[in-house]
Amino acid sequence: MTDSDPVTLGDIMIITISRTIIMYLFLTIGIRIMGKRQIGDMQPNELVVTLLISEIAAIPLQDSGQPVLNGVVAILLLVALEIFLSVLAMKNIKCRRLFSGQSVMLIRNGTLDQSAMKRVRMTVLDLIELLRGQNVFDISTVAFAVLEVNGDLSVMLKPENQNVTVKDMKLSKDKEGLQLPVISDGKIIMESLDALQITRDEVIKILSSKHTEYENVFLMTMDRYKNLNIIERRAD
Amino acid sequence: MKRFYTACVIVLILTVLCITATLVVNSKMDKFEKRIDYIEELDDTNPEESYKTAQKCEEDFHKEESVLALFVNHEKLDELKKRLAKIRAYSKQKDFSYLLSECAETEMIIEDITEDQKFLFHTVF
Repeated sequence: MTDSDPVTLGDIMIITISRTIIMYLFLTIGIRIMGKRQIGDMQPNELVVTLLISEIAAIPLQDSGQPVLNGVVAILLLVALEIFLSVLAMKNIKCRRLFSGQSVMLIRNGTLDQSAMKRVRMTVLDLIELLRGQNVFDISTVAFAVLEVNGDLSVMLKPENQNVTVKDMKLSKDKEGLQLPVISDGKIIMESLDALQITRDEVIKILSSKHTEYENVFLMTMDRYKNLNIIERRAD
Repeated sequence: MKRFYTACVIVLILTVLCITATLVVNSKMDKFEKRIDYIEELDDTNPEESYKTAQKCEEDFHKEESVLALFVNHEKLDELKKRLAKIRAYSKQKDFSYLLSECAETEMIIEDITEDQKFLFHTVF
C-alpha cells in the first residue's frame, strides 16, 4: 500500500483482526506462564493482575492509534511481576501476609469469634450463607470455621456431627487407586501406561481375556491395583 | 522455579526492548529536529536548499515511519507527517513566515514524542 492509498474499511478490519490475534496470543501465553488458577481461587494480587491485564489488552484493540507493543510490554511486565511476587511470597512469610493476606478463624472450638468477624467485615448472615455453601445448615454443629484468603470458608464439624468413616466402623475395604484413562476412543494412552507401570502388551492381554481389542474400546480406565472399567464402542 | 526463570527472561527482553525503543526514537527524532533547525537557519537565504532539506526530511520519515509506529502513538506520527508535508509545501512556495511557524510547531511535536520516551516525573504521572 502506498502513502496515497486511502485506508478502507477492509484495511481497518484486517488491522483489528491482526491486533486481536496478537493480543490473544500474548494473553494466552501470559496466563499460561502465570499458571492454572480459577478466578474464585485467586489470591488478591493475582486477581488484581488479571483485572489489569484484561483492561490493558483492550486498549490497543479499541484504539488503533496505540502501538500494540505498549499493551504487550505492560502485559508481559505484569506477568513477570506476578511471578516474582509469588516466588517472594513462597520464600518469605511476611511478604505472603502482605500481598495475599491471612486466613481468619471465625469459629473456634464451636464459639463464634465476633471480633474476627468485625475485622473481616462479615455479618452473621454472610457466615451462615457461606456455611450453607459447605452443606452446613446448623451453626452449632461447627467446631472450626476458617475464612481463607481467597474468600472460601473451610469448615470442620464437631466430632459428633462428622460423617462416619470406614476406619470408624472398623471395616475392611478393597484396595483402590486413582483410575487413569488407559484407552480413549480406541487409542492407548502411553502416559497412563507409564504412570500405572504396565506395558501395551499387558493391556492387550487383559482386553483379549475380556474378548475384545483396544480398537473396539471407547474408554478403559485402570488403577495401580488393576481394577478396571471398560466401555466398548457402539457399533454405529 | 522454571516460571521464575521465565519471568527473568521476560524482564530481560522487556528491558532490551525499552532501551531499543528509546534509542531508536531519540536518534530518529534527533535527525528530524536537526533538519528542521537547518531549514529555520536557512530562512529565506537559500530557498532551494530549504526545499531539498524539507523533501529529504519527508522522504526519510516515510522510510522510517513503520519502525517508529512500533513505539510511538500513531496519532502523533500522523501529525508529524502532516507537518513535514506542510514544511515541504511552504518551502516550495517560498512562504517563509508560514514555514518558520510550521518549523516551530513541528519541533514541539518532535520534542513531545522524544519526551514520551523519557523517564520523567510528568511522563510517569
